[in-house]
Parts: sequence; C-alpha cells; structure tokens
Amino acid sequence: MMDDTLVKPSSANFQTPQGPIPPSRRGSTASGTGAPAALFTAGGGTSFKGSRRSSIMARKTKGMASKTNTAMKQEPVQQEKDAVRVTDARGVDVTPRPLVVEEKPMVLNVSQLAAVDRPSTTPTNQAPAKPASAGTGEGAEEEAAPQAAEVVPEALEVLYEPVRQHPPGEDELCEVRLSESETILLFDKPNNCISNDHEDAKAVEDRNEKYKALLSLKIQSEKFSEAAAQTLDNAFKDKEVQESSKEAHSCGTQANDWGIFDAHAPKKTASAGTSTESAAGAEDDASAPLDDDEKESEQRAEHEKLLGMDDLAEALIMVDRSVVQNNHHKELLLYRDFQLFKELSIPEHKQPAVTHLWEFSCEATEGLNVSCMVWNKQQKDMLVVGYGAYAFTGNRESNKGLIAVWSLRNPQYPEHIIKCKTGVTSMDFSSVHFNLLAVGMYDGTVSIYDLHSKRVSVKPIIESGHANGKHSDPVWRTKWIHRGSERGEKLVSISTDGRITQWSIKKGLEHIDLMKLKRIQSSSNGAKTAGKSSKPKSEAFISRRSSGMCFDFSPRDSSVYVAGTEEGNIHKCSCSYSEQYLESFVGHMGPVYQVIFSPFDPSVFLSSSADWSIKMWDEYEKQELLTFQSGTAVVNDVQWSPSNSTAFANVTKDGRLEIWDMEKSTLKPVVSYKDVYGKAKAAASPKKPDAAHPAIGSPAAAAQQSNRSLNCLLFNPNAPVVAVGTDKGQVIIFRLFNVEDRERNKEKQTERLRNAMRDNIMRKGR
Amino acid sequence: MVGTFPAATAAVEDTFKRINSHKGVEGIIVISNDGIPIRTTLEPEITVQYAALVTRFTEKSKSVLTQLNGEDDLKFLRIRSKKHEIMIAPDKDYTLLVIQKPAVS
Repeated sequence: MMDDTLVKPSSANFQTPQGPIPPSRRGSTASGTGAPAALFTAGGGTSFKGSRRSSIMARKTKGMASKTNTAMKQEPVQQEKDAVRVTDARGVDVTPRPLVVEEKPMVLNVSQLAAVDRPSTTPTNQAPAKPASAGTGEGAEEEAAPQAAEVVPEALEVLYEPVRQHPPGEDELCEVRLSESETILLFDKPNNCISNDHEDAKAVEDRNEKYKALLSLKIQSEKFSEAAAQTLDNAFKDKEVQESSKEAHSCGTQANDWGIFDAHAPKKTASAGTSTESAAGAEDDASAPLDDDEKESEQRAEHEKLLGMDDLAEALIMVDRSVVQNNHHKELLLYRDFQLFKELSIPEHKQPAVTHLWEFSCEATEGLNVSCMVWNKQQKDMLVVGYGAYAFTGNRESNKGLIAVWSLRNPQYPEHIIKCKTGVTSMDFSSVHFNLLAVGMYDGTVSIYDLHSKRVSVKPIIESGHANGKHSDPVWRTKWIHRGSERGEKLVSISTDGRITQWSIKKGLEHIDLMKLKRIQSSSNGAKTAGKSSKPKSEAFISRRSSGMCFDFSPRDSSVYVAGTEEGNIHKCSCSYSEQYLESFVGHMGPVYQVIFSPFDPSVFLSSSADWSIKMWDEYEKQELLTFQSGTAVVNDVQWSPSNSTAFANVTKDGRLEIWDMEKSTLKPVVSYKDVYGKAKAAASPKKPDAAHPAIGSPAAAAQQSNRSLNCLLFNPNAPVVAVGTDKGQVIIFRLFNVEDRERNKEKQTERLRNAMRDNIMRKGR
Repeated sequence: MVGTFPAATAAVEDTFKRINSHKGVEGIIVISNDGIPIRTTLEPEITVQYAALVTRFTEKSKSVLTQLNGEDDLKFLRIRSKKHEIMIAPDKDYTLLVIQKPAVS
C-alpha cells in the first residue's frame, strides 16, 4: 500500500505555463480520502503525468479512484477548503508547496481528458519528488506504464494537461478553455542554414569541411588543450609628482640707431682718455662724462684693479716674448742651427765666420760692466750674466751689482734680475745642484743663490761674512769642482788677497784655505841661473802674497790645479800641499786673466794675459809651448772650443773677437771680428741701432764710435754660438760658422790636437 | 674721483711700455671679460672693433678645445695674417691683445 506520501507534482513542466494543476485538485482528491492518498504518487515530474497517473490510477481502481475523482472534480469549488495535504506514514505534513502559484483556474473538460491517453513519462523527471514518494511513484508508474506504452507521445506539445477525471456516473459538462499562453523565449539560435541554391553555398560547405577537419585535428592533438585562464586584473595605482612650474620670461628690446650711438658714445670718450699712456689711470676720470656716474666709476674701479693683476703681468710677459721672438725669428733659427740658409737668405760660408745674432740688453743693464757669464749646466740655453765693475770706482753706490738671468725666449728682457749690494765679479753654476749659483763679489763675499723658485729670492741663501774667512779682495773666480765621490762637489774661489779657498756648504759656509799664494822670484827669460849665492835683486814686496786672478782644475786629477796671478806667473798646485807649488810657469809679462785646460787633452792649458798674448802650456813643461798674439790689446778671456780640439777663441779689450785654429795657423786667427758699436741714437730707446755686421773681419766704419771692450767669452756647449760680454752692459750672441768640427770621437780630436801642437812646436823650434 | 683708483702696478706698466716699443708693434689692447676695452694704444674705433671681434673668436676657439678634451683650455692664440700678427692671451678676467707687423725676412 502506498500510503506514504502524496507528493504534489512539481512545477518543472516547461510547457505548462500555467503551472501544474493546482495541487489542490489532485491533492485534494488524494487528501480527500486519506487512504487512497498513497495512490497518487506524484513522483515529481510533470504535473500532467502525476495527474495522468492519478487519473489512470483512478481509472483502474475505480473503487478507489472514484472517490478521489469526485473529489477532484469538485476541486474548483472546494479549492480553498480542500487544500491538499500530504502526510507520510508518521503523519508529518510533507505537503510540497507549489513552485508556481497560479491563480487562474483551470477549467477542465473531464470528457476531453478521458479521451486523451497520455503515456506516463519516465520517472526520471520526478526530480523534486521526495525519496519516499519516489519509490511509491515508481511503483505506481510501473503499474501504469504498460498501459501507457501504447500511447503515442505527443505529450510534449500539449501545453496543458488536463486532468482526466471521470466523474463516476456523472456526466457533467465542464467547460475547459484552452488558450495559448505567452512564450517565454529561453534560447534562440537563429538559423544559419542556407539553401543549396544560394550563391555562397559552396563556400559555406568548404568552411564547414575545414572546420570539421580542424576539429578532428584538435581532438587528437597534444598541442591543443582546451584550457581557460583568467587574467588577473592588476590594480591601478596613481602616483603624483609635484614640480614647480617653470617660469618663462620674455624680454624684448628695441634697437634703434640712436640707441646704439648713445651706448657707444660715452665709451668712446672714456677710451680716448686712456689711449695716451701714462702711469696713473687718472685720465679716465678726467675725460669721463659725469652723467654715468656710479656705474661707470664702479666699472672703472674694476678695470683698474684688473690692470694691477698678476695674471695680466704674466700675460704681458708672454706676449712680450712672442713679439720679440717674431722680430728675432731668423736669429733664433740660426742659434738653433737650423740649416735653412737659403730660406733665411744667408750666404753659405765655407770659411769660418762669425755672425752677430743679437744682444742681450735691456734698460736695467745699460751701462754696466759685464764681468762674468755662465750657462746653466742643466738648461744649456739659460745664460746668467753678472754685472760689476772691474775697477775700483771709489763710490760704493755706483758699483751696483746685478745678476740677470737671460733666456732665449726673450732676448730683450731678462727672465729675472737680482740686485746685489756690490759688483759681481765671478759666477758659477753647480753641476750637482743645477739651481745653485755661486757668486763672487767685488767686496770679497762669496754667496750662493738658489734660482729654483719662480720668484727668485733677492737674498742669497748663504753668504760668507767676515767671520767665515771672507776674502778681502774681489773674488775673481769661483768654480764648483767635483772632487771625487767621497768629497763631493766643492766651491773654490780665488781672490787677489792671495788665497785660494775651498768652501763647503754642509753646515753654513765653511772654508778651508787650499793655498796661500806666495810670491816667487821672477826669473827673467834667459839663462840666468838663480843660484843660491847670487840672489837676484829682489824687489821690495809690499806683501808676500801674490794676487790670484784665475785658476782651473785639471780634468785629469781633481786635486791638481793651476792658478794665474797678477804677476804673470802661473803656478801648478795641489790640494794636498797648501804651502808649496808643484810647478811654476813663468812666461807672461802681465797679469794672467785666464787659465783654462783643454777639454780634449788634459795636460794642455791656455793662458791669456794683459801682455796681449795667449800662451799654450803643457803642465809637465816649464816652458810654454806656443804663443798667440794678434794685436796690441789686453786679452781678457780665452776659451777652448768644445767641439773642435784645435780651436779656441779670445776676446780683447779693443773689441775684437778672434777665433784661432791651430791646425790652420798659429800666427793669425782664422776669424777676427771687430765689434762695431755705435751710440748714434739716443740711449733711452733700446731699439738697436742699425749697425753693419760684417761676417769676416771687415774694418770698423766710423772712427767716432766708441768701442766696447769685450770682457768675457763663452762657448755654448750645445749650439754653435758664443756669448760675449761687453763693458757697456750688453751680451752679444754670435753664431759661428764652420768653426766646429763634426767629429765626435774624443780620441781623434785629441790626436789632432797633439799633431797640431807637435807640428807647430817643431816649426817654432826651428 | 681722482684719487680713489690705484694705479696699475709698476711691472705691468713697464712691460706695457716695453712691448709698445718693440719693432713692429702696432697696438696693445686689454679687454675686460664683458668686452669693454680697458687699456689701449690704438684708435677707439678700431679698438672697439677688435674687442668685439676678438672676444667672439676666442670664445669659439675655447669651445673647440674644451669640446675636444674637457680638461683642455686655451692659453694663447696667434693669428698670422698677410699683413699682421695678432697675439691673444685670454684669461678668465681679461683678454690681452697685441697686434704686430712682423719683420719681413
């Protein structure tokens, strides 16, 4: 018995928009009679099924159904009263509530219902059925199924399933109205079929085929996997930056003719005022217009300040150099031995010759006596010139000493000028410390200057004072001698006070007297043997000391040196003996102003003297080897040529520069240059007078011109140039032609020298 | 107004005179860095012209050098023309200009 539940048919019935038959109908029939309630197993599904079943059931079991049918028939009337109630076996009310509540009553024609046999559908459609009722529904259906099987399923098209209820015995006419309910469109797929006659039919078919093929590929393909992904929606973030707004300014001005004129007009008058050169800038103020007062004056103050700047001074110096170098361009090229004779329009010389290049001279050195010159050992073109009087001038103030550092960069102005308290008489650069300059002065002081700094200190770094054994007479020669590696370099000085002193600068300025020159008996040339018995008439000596004028150390042995004296004797001494001479060379009849060893033959030296001659000696020979004389003037200086072993040069007091070459002649010099010096123009202007510069000893032009005495001479070790100092304050640079020998081999040069000497001596001997 | 400005130093004056006395020198001009001639030995019209033209030229040369090598700078400039040689010494505060007629060799 199926008493369990009577479930109302579900409303899951698409095609009955009006919803299921109000459950009250069916249900009521069922509930109307409690017992046969179980017969009406809704089993879910469609209402019509349920009702069909119920109706079928009702047909079958007439006995049972009749009551229900009647109950159902009377449903519309008793709708409110007879609510369908489903209760299960335990009496719990499990009445399914209707999903759709339909108010419109359905009016059924029972007879119509009876005529239609509807098959029951499968029990699978009974979804909302309760499990309990499902079982009963199935049971009921099974019973109904065989009967319904014959029925053609047209049920789907029926919108409404009427309840087939046969009222027992009654044949009442019920009115059943059927009308089309509205269509709820749940899915619409438009038809995209085209007829075969359509023009695109072929294309469509092809596409279809292709698609099918693609699909078939996709199915088996491993590369294809249907997968869906969801992209993340990144959150947006707002970032703000604040910037100060850029301001734009526009400026404009109008330029007119009169504006330009006005702007230039006051400046014109100001610059006109400065065009006249004068020391003070006061003119600026005088001519400046008074209207632009403050701004102009500020500007001018600035300008004045500018003029006083150091930078400007340096720039001016640089420009000065450029200007001067422009003027001396040709000469500088000659100095540097540029073999561009054709370009420089200088005739090529075959003979030894001398060309005047330029003169180092400036206002500050005008009129001073050049007493000594020296090239720097490191910068071989830096010439340091010492100015100082030779003679005692009586007046301290007039013997102002000067040291001027000249450079090739500016032949018209020295790089530095150092003022000294007295005249400078000798100088030498150290070969170890290239910036140390030893200076011997007229008053006997020996000072050492350091030229290293940019701004050369005016004071010497060391000076010999009275306590230190200062010379008491002018220091005529100072030389740095390298005394070997143990002793180092020492400074040696000689003075007319008769002392040869060695100075050391290790602690202050210490001195050691190397030698005190003594007078010797001057044996006359001749055969008079100075026997001990017959003493020659000795002169009354004022002092026993002999006055030294010059010295030179032997290149062979750094402890042996020769010194020339005012008497004309030359003494060979050694540092080890401070009292005795090793040898005395007597020959000159006047003071010996220069002794110098040959750079090629260490035993040969030359001496120049006031007796107008130059003598060549060998240190091992008591007698002189050769005598050179070419005039009647005091020979102030003699120097060996550094490049030609047989050549040497000398300068004389009467303004001659002579170059000798022993190989060629010992009687006369190969070049004799007579200095032509004219004071025609006013001395204020340093512009050089246009004097004639003869190449090979042409005679001087005018007789009124005063001669310059050439005081000292220096060969340049690098360039074929000699520097000659005059007594008027100029240093002349001469270029030598064909004097030097290109032979670099020292032995060969020595050989030549010896040969020349031998030839000449033999000739003389005859 | 007269006494307030210090005179140019003696060294500068000396050098000025010396340069001017050299052979061939036609003029010297000192220009401040805004192009105004401070000191000159030439006529004002020519001075102004030189000042204007030369400052532009030195700026151009300076920029050439600093672009080639950032650490480089212009020290000295010499322009040799058919008729003259112009020597320019620029500096950050001033420019010095000398015009010379070179000696015909």
